Amino acid sequence: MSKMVFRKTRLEELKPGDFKLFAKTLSDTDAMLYAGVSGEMSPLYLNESFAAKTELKSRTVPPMLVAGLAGGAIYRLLSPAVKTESRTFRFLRPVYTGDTVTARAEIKEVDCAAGQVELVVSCYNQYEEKVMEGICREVLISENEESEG
Amino acid sequence: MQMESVSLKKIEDISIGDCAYFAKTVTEADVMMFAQLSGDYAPHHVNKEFGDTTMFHSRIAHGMLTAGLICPVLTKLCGGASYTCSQEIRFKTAVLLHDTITVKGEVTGVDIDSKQVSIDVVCTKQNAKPGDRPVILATFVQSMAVAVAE
Repeated sequence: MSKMVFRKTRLEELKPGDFKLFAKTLSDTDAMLYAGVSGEMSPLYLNESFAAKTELKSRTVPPMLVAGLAGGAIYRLLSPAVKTESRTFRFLRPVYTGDTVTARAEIKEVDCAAGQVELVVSCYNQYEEKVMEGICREVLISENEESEG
Repeated sequence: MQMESVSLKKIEDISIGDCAYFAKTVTEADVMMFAQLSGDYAPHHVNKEFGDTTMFHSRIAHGMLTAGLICPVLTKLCGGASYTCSQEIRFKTAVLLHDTITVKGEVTGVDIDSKQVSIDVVCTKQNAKPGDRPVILATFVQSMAVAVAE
């Protein structure tokens, strides 16, 4: 059977301070694929000639793509299976195409009864400068009725 | 020449009440690409068999994938030389594969001094009726402070 079992009890094994990291180099390919997925065609991300004329000097990576790496870290901490309830992020520095970003997700609070987890998320570039920080709230996905029991 | 293809705005060009829209169908290709982009291969996104056993009876899109559809609206409202400073996103309803999401962004604040624009965003699904739960409610602060050489 390929069916995975919902591990609701696993929330009880989690405690504040537990964390996971996920690191990824945000390449040209990522930037182009993200343009296709999101429809975001801002020249700051796609047009090197334009970006070179701005104070940023080169193409940057869409902040929302950097924020997406939070999902990579949260997945490693909580999978399966949680759904995002809210995400609040502040972007502190630009991330350039080719930078390697490490996302860190740390448990802040676990509410086992409600199936909710609150996490503190931060992203760092390869120089260990913080590029993003935020709070994520996740809620456990329940099984459908037919597959219970 | 290249500059002519880039739509730039000044903060003075932006007014409270300005609106912009973007709509896209979220396909399996989008979800698989986003899994690769974000590193989030959670089974309720990438495993059909697992998705079928959940309360959604389907795989669902990554929340941040749907949130990404907001970006084109921010660029339409603030032009090509703006970037996001902060965002607060609340996910109200899951997005299933093949749902079509419409994003509406509306300018709610313009601060000339800090060159920041506040934008309220609501994302809805196909066939949404008034009073239906939206997919996303969000607020964004977009900065217009990127200097561009003449």
